[in-house]
Amino acid sequence: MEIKFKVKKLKPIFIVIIAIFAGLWAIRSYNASRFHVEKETRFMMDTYVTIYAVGPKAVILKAIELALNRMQEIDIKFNSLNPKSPVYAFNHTLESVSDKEIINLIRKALKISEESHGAFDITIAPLAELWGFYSKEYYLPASQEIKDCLVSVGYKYLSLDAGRLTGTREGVKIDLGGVAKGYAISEAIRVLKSNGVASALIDAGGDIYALGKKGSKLWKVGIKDPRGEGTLGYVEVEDLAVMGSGDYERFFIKDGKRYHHIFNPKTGYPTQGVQSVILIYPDPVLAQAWTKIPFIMGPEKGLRRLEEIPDMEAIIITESGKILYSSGLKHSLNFIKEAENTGRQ
Amino acid sequence: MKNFQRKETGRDFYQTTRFDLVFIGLTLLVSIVSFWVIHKRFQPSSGPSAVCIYQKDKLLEESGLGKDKIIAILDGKMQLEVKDGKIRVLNTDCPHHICKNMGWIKYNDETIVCVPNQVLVEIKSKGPAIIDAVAY
Repeated sequence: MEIKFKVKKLKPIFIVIIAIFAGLWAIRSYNASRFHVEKETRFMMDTYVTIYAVGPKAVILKAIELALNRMQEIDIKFNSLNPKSPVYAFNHTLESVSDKEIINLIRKALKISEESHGAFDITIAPLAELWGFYSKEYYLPASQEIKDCLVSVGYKYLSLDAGRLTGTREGVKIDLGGVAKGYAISEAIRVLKSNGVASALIDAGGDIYALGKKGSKLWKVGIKDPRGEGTLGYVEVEDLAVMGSGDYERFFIKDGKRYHHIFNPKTGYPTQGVQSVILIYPDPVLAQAWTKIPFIMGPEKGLRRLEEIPDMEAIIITESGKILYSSGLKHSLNFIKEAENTGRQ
Repeated sequence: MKNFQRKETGRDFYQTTRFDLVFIGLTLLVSIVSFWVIHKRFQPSSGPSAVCIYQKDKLLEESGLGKDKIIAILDGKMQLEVKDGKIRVLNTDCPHHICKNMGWIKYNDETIVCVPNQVLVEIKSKGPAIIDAVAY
């Protein structure tokens, strides 16, 4: 039985439509392979690290594993509390450090100390120890104890000569926690790239790096509200680090006063006046280190100093909850609009 | 070629038959339903639907966030509070209380981590994440 219709060309039109759909399906399948997302989380560096990567499954799974392995290597090597680390040996036996990788990072850290006039300092380890941030038994020291401790605090008591680090004053100790996570992130990015990954997001306990784009879109990184709930908003980034420091990460409260883990190397006390700092910058090592500067210099002066660094954008939330941000962010961030709407600016 | 086919089959290949009609109708129906399902699935999520709590990659608990409650894990060493579609660590036995200090989370893929207890609390929404990660 055959039915003849007035529109006899219906079938060829349909074949063309099917062909188009088949083509689109093939493109979609190709994109599904190309934009496949995998993630893996591991505990390290006293926090968790999650790497999301986009790409063909076999490629990204291998790359994520290698990148996390590399971060774990760095965690062991640079951790001043790990007896296997040359940094631990330096702090406990005054053994000089000659490891090339550690020396290179210390050189970078000392340059930041110079540029920030000592606001950033890797020799604050004795202070963190005194206040109980290493033993996890918090302690409010007497002012004389702090004065005694400050005798061995100062980046100028370190000497880098012929690729060897030595201390020039008794009791000087280093803590690379202010740069090591940034370095681990930069190394993870290098490993991901060398293994064929062009799109990834690293979340190292709230310190983020966005490699490439997420498909055709930018990565969206939220900014945590330091005292409130959830996020203030988000920034959209590509090939940028979004690094944060806050007085809410490690702290204790004694007699109604908050004592946190970011110290002023001049006074020996935890800083006051700033709740959190978020920096957006291509180099995660520099971004991590410079997040400490507004805490020590104060919000306004700190922001002015950060604005002197080309391409560096900053968001500073002061003790009173006021949000300061660098001029480059004025019209580009979603959270700024939200903050203005809620009268927090 | 066309003439040859006509000779072989005795009918015009391009002529629409009843079978063609049914096939076209079914294909259109499947296409429309598929489009609707995909569209619904990839809508940005309006709110969190669940939270997953892991310890060392092992799923300890999965729970909806629609109802206010207290979730106790690790024999009560850690308590989590669910309220208004958000979750936070209410009490914990870890020394630094960093997980407790992280406050509330509510967006898809947002996490709270307790390193000493090796616990990861992660929001799971039905749709894609509004935010990919949170800096702090």
